Amino acid sequence: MIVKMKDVIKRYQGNTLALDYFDLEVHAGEVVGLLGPNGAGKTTAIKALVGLHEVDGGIVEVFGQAQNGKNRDLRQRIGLVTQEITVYEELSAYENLRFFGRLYGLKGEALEQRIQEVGQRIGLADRLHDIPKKYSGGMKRRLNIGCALLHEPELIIMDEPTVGIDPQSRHYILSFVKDLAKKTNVSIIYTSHYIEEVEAIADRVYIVDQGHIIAHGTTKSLIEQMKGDATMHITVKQGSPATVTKLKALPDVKEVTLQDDTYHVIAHAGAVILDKVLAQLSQETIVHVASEQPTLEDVFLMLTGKSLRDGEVA
Amino acid sequence: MVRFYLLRLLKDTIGHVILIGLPLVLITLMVSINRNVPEAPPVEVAALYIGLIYILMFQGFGAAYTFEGLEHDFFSPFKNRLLMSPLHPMRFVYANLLFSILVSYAQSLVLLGYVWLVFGAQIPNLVGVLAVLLLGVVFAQLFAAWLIFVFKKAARAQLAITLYIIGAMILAGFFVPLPESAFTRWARIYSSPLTWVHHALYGFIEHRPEDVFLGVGLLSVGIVVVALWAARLSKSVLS
Ligand SMILES: Nc1ncnc2c1ncn2[C@@H]1O[C@H](COP(=O)(O)OP(=O)(O)O)[C@@H](O)[C@H]1O
Ligand SMILES: [Mg+2]
Repeated sequence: MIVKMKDVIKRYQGNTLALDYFDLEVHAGEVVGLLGPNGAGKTTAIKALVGLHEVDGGIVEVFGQAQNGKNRDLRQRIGLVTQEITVYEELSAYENLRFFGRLYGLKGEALEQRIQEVGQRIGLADRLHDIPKKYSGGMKRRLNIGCALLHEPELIIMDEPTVGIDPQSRHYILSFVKDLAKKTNVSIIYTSHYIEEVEAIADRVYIVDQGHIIAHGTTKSLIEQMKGDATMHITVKQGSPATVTKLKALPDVKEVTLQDDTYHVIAHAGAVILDKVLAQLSQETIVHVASEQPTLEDVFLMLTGKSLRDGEVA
Repeated sequence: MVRFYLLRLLKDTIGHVILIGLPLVLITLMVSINRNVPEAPPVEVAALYIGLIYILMFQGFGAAYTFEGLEHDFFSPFKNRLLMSPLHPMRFVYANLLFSILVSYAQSLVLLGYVWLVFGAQIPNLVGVLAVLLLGVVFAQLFAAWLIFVFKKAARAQLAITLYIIGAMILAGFFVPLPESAFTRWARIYSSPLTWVHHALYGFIEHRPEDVFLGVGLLSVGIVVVALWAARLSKSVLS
């Protein structure tokens, strides 16, 4: 096992209980998503994991060794992408990458080669000699990731690597992570308060709220666990109350309403009934169909009674 | 690491303008004002006196290198990156100090070279003078480390060192000569590390070994005290 955290407690001065019997497991080659709203304890968990914070209780093991913050050998095997952008803004991306490579003992030809490789990977190969100060937010984020990859860590931890950037850069980072996971055998922990991200890249998801894991599993199993609802919205040329009655009679349908020529159908989650619904509408001219399955957002809402977006910051 | 830290300092153009350009202008200005004073000493003597005072003053302002470097490295999230590396965090403190000392010292040498080349200042016992100037820089940069560990913000450290420099310059009578009294005679030698350096410098220039011993002695004690104290404070910062 790459990471094992069990019953971890972390209390900050001022008595904030940031980790409250926190658990996390990561196996070799896995991408694990750590999902939770701002202030849930994600960064604290990461800091405890990498040894930047001492914990007040519980087990923290990395690569089978107890994390005590002093083991240099462990640090060599971990790449941490900090939540904040931590590069030196006045020196070129090249110099930043070089510096972090040197810190982990790379030198000479091997270092030079790694810088080029990483530059390529993060899509900055032709901008390596510009200073980050001139970069867009997305480019800075990518360099921030690159600086943690020089030494080819076996465990990569990314703490909210897409906060505050444009959709294009976000997309780039997500496919980059997927690619990295596929092509190499690294294990990745990816924290976020964006559900789509975690859904898109994680093999398994841990949902954290108030320092405690409230659910974990594959995205699919988490959604299946919840008894949520699926909804369909079907807009027709001319809606009729008779159709509403017919739709209501279908199995698994819980509720049907007609509003401005749009039927809103609520059914049990996981029920595959769109075709049956559409069959009932064969006499009508369908203008638009939309269907929503429950998402992790709904899982979170159901588990905590609050939206993940509540605490969102730009 | 050498390259990274050296580049960081060398690329700081504004720093060079303030720490070299400004004192060059001030020295030139003060020397030319001094020329028109009745009974003024010969220009090469006045230029050396004025030059050394501004060198000391700007060695003090050069302390900004260390406290800004340490602020960037240890009082910002950058700290996490450094603490995560396999190197001992003290290595980054030493790197900041060492390269700040080198760059600030080079600036002192540029200013000294200027008064020598332009005003023909003669510097007896040059090696001794250079050594004392180096001790002055070492003290200033260590003091800067102490300041940032105490104040935690470069802006506050900057304010503190500015007040210190202005206070020390006034007490020493470097800005305007103070009226003769027992206190001002004492202050001219003992009132601050700036006067210790000055006392040792003129000990070398005017061949008074006892002044060299006194100045260098006080300065050495100062360096040891501030280094130990800063090292102690660093423990909580680096964990
Ligand atoms: N250095 C700190 N001192 C005191 N409280 C902190 C500190 N860092 C975080 N906290 C608190 O701990 C909780 C968890 O924070 P954090 O781990 O940063 O959450 P997340 O990364 O999920 O947004 C929050 O209530 C936060 O205010
Ligand atoms: Mg966080």
